[in-house]
Amino acid sequence: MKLTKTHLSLSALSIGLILTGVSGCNKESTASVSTGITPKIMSDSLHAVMVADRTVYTKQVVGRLVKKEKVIKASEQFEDDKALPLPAQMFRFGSEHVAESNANFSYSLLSLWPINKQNSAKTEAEKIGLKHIFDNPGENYYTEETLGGTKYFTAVYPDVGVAPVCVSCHNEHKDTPKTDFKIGDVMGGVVIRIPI
Amino acid sequence: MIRMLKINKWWIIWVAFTLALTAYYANSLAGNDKEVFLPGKASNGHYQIENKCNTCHGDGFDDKETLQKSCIRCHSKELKAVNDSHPKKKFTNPRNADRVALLDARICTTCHIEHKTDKTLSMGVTLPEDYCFICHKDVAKNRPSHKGMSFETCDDAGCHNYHDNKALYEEYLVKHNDQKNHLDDMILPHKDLKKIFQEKNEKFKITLNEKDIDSPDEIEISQKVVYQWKTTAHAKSGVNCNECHDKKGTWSFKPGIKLCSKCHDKEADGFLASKHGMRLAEDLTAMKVSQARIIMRSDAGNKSINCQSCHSDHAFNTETAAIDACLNCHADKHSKSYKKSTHYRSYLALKNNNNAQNQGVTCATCHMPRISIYDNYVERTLVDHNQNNTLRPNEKMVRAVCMNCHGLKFSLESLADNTLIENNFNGIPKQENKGFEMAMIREELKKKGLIKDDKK
Repeated sequence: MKLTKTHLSLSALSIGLILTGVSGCNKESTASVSTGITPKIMSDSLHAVMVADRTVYTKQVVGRLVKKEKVIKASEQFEDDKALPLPAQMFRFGSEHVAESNANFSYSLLSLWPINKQNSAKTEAEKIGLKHIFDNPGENYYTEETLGGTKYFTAVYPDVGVAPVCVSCHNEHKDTPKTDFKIGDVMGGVVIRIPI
Repeated sequence: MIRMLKINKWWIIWVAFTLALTAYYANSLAGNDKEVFLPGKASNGHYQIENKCNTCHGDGFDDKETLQKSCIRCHSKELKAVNDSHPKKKFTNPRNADRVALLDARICTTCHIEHKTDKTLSMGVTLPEDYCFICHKDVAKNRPSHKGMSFETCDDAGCHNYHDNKALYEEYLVKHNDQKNHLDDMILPHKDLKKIFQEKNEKFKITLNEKDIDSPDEIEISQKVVYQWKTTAHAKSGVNCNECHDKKGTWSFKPGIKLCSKCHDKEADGFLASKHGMRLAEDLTAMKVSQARIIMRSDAGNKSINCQSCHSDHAFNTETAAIDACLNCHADKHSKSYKKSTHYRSYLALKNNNNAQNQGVTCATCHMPRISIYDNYVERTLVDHNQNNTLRPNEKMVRAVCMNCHGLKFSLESLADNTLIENNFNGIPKQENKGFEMAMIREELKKKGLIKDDKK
């Protein structure tokens, strides 16, 4: 594969990820030091970090303090309610932070049943990708798309409800279009885009 | 020969005229009066500094990046404070490229173009009024209650704002729906500057008098000034003459804002960001009352605005600054109605009762409110000297001011009533805010598990 400018910058980012101890991609990333990595490896690695952080926050912070210790609430209006941000909000804040830093990738949390309708599938890749991960549990979806004149490698990963708080919050929310989520269900998808 | 002389004469006139014109433009360009170069008057928000082109444009023109940085330099703090509902970061994701193509919400000048006063709507917006519909025209699909609502109603007072919705979001309406018009506990926040300083330094715990005066011997101080100083918070908090008048070893007869900001930095920052101080912030001459675009007293036109305009040198009194200082200049209907208002009557009643708990509602209570901030992780309450923070859109005032005494619904409805604003809230609002009803219907449906049937 031709080594593009994007691949070179991805190589640098992948080294950063290796140093921070991302598990599960050591083999591919080690090879990248000399040859560069593909957007797919880059995207999978980023997703691994996202899932790890999200799961830790959901279980060790929100799940533990809200459900087990019962010392604080988690709330969508966390500032006014002096509560913890919801895991999905925490995820979005990270995404917005990345957007502000002009990083060479972007990510979103979307769903076929979004609470905020702005987070429903919009592009063709999102529509097909979200349907694919729901119809094929355990699979990711990879494609390329052009948005605003720029070509992107786009990956869609299943976002699974990992704790009771994920499911109960979505099922009970006023704006949810689906009220029967269960733990382990694909509730939405993480969409990562890398310009190529 | 005569003909040549005639031609030469016109040449001389032409050269002289060109030179004069060049000198005029060169002088304008070099000085602070660049009005001749303006492509049009600036909006109400910026006209005070319109002659200082490089404040917004930097050293070049037509550079959108420079302009954007200028907007952010002055306005980012307030946008962050109000938890901006449409920040740039929400539009940089490639999935929003189609929206950005229709309305580039990543940059401020998409909606706020300067020097176009004939096209400038309220809030300095220069887009056609239906801009919300570019992205939200299908709102009724998820909010059937909004069916048939026209684009003019989106930003009706008490409904939605583009940037600041801190007092308007649905859960907040639900949470405060049952509040009374007048709360049982109507308490205004108390300033704590003295306490904060005393915790920092013991010297501010000492009360000073004549024998402590530390001005240089050669400086003559009148008994009147000494008396005024003794009766103010400065003498009572250990603040001596040199604290304000000593400028690096030299006696300063007229200490400016830089000296005031030694202790009152947050207040000074607010003042410099406000309509009162924005010219000083740009090193221009102080704002003159005659330069205001709103109705002011004709006999105040020559007054310039600095710290001492409201807090006179030695006889400063925050009560004077909170009412009389305002009314000495402002002469619009709202200001002129203040002394006939319930708010003023409450102020007098509390003052006469010597109520230490509360000081009643002054002009400053609403327009320069006492706010809580975290300064180096220390919570303190101070006067926000930037009236823009609670002025427009006026819902910005609700949480910081109105809700100290009034319920949310009453506050929003009052601020949506132009007659009440003119007469300084002498009466009760005429029109109901329908947003509460809509929010409560959805709340009830949720409780009954019928939220999907929100067709009412």
